Amino acid sequence: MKRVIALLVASLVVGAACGQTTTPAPGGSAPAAGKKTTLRLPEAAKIVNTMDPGVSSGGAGLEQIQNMFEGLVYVDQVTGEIKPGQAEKWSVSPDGITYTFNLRANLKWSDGQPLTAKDFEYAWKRATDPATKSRYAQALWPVKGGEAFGTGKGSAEGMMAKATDDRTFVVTLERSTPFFMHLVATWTAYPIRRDTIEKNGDKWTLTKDTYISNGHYRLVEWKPEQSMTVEKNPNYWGENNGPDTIVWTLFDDVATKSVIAYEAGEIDRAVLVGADITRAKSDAVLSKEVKKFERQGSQWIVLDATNPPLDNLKVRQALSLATDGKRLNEVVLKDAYFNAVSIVAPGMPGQKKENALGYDVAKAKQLLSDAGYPDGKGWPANVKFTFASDGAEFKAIAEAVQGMWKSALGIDIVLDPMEAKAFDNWRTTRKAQPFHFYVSGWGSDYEDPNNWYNMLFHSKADFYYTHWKNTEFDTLVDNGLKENDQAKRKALYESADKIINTETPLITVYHWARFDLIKPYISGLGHYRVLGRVQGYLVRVNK
Amino acid sequence: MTTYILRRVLLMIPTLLVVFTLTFLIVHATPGGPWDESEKPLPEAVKANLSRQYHLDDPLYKQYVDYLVNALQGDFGPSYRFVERSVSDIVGATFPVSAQLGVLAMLFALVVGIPLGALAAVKRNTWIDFVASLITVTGIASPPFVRISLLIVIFSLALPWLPSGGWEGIWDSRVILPTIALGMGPAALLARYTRSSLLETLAQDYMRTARAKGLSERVAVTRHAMKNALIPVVTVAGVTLANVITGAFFIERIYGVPGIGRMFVDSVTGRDYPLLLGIVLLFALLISVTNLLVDISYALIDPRIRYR
Repeated sequence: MKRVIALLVASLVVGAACGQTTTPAPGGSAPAAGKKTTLRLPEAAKIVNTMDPGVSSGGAGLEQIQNMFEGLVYVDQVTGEIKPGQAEKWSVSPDGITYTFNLRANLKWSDGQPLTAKDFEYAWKRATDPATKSRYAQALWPVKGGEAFGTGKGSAEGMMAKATDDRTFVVTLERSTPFFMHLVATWTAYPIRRDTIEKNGDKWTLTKDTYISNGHYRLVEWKPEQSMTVEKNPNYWGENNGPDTIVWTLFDDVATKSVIAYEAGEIDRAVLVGADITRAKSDAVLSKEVKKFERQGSQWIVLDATNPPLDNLKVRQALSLATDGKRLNEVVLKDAYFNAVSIVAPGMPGQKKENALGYDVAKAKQLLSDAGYPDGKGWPANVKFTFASDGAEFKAIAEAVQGMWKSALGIDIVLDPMEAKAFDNWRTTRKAQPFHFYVSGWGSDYEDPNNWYNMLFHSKADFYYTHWKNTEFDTLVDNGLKENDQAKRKALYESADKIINTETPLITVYHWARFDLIKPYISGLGHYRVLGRVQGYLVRVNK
Repeated sequence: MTTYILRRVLLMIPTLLVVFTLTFLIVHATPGGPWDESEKPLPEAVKANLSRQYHLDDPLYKQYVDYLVNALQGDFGPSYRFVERSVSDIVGATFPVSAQLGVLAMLFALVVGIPLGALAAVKRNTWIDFVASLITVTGIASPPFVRISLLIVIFSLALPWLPSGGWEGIWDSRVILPTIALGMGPAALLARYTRSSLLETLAQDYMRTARAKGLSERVAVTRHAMKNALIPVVTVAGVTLANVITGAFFIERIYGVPGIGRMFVDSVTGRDYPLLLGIVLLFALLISVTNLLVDISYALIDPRIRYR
């Protein structure tokens, strides 16, 4: 949290400084009336592959969707708190089962039509319906009857999300779910206009007349593979002091092409990776425009905790202790990320950096020797380190880790690169098949420990197929899921955090970050640590 | 001639079927599925539902027959990755862009390549010939992605005259760099062909006759030599046109042109089977038709060739 505050302070200072050097916009607020402002952003072309909130996986076009839609509630970018959006208030029954949302008066869609609780009921049921082919349907499964409907065993009528009148939306859950409000804030729970979908089918997202939304902005034009333009939505209930227009240019290779377009003055922000980070940092002009943002995510080496020699806890701990996260990030990856702290990303309730094993070669050697491999003697041949070879980064990680383990522990591993899609396929089949190591990652969908400890590491979920099972851990996180007292809940997850870091079914390589170049006349362009998308209404273009 | 054309058109059907079958088998034998897993994996339940909804868990023969039956009715199915657009929508939007860019690049190639080659032949072994050779060798030897990258660095960053990417139709300045980058290869090729073909023609007996009867060198070359020298060049140009339209994917990707080559590459890396099959069929048809047109043009330009 401290780091987040520091980051925010830093960005405010930078923002204020920018305000002084350019047009004197009072307090960095909206520029003088009459002058239209445009924010020009880059986006990955293939990322924008669906603009349907009810279908999106959250990778696809999320930034654009979030700027054009608003749910009952939203997550405050600065504090991480749940704030009222389309709902002005809500109440939860004492048993945590029934949620009643009261919508604001006179809500409107971008075309001026009234927006009612029925639009939410329609959207929630549509997203859950398997025929909608949602990439994120499970967000609404905690609703009573939701999972049954979503897996083809129930019906829309059986899903307990009902509009009792135009301004009241009542949701009954299967069981108490302390993080449910975070799910209500996701894109899957955004309202959707029934008539445009029934009339236009899947193509409702393509034109400004059919893509009716309810957020700060509305669609002007989407040119697939080229650009997307949005303008302020005059029918939004609240204020919007952001730029009048936002234009996203869509690049196939956003990291390299956005830097060129940025330097040519065509866009206001660029995404930096690899060698461009080093170049920008040493450039007289660009170095002042480089910004580094935290994203709540971890990149790991995933271990098969049941496959010899990794079934031996001492071996896993030795490998983790011999992995120099500081060197990996700062030297190998040119400080493109944040140094590894622990398995779960910093800031998540439950995560404690004291629980991590850390980096200690002497201890690692001792543990490996205790495990029966003194100085690597007797280490089996053909222990494989698998990774997707489409980017240079994973290869760099694999080679660096291979070198670290060789020099610290005297063991050999075999690098096993795979084409990206072949890797996905291979990874999926690890559920029932042994492996040694592979590289993968996770970023928070919402800031609740359930999104990590229960969904990824509980032995029933085993999202990464580590095959690791610890009954005490499972019980702790099961109880954490049910606990409504936030302090007790945090303590339960902290105990679980200690267990997983000690048992080390995963070794952290780094925590997610994002490097940007941002033009000096832009302020307020932050990068939220969860999901990390730009919210246009917070940005000021002082030009 | 009519029977010949008819026979060639009928032969395209088995050709396309073979192309379709091979592509279908290869894509299904390649590991990996179409669902977006770029940043972090999708949950199992979601993947299972998607595969069911898109009939990817049907037996392979059924998927094959279904796709073929639908394709014959003009329905190439939905794209897996672009939820809101069908394969026909995507091809319909991107193919005209590639076609326009391809035709422009080909015009550039003709306007630059043929005069360059002719000049080199006429001024054989002078400095003009050497400079022309240098240009053509560079054009042939440099891959398109190097050419477009260099052009962007020079004309968008060093001399900021032109935008660094995008597409706004053929009347916008954004068309210039990709046209040159794409056209330079074929221009060099045409220049080489024109040069060697013209050199051969210039040595013919009728050229000596033309000069002997008092025609100026310029008239002799333009009226008599060029006409014959261009026969092989025309056939090369025809085949090149198909290549230019279907093979611009590097330039389309780097310069951000929303063309079909870019979708083709994406459909392979993204395992978007219906889109990939649709584009492969279109390319196969395009190349078959171009080859037929080239063969017909032989007969039209060269009186010595007759088809039965």
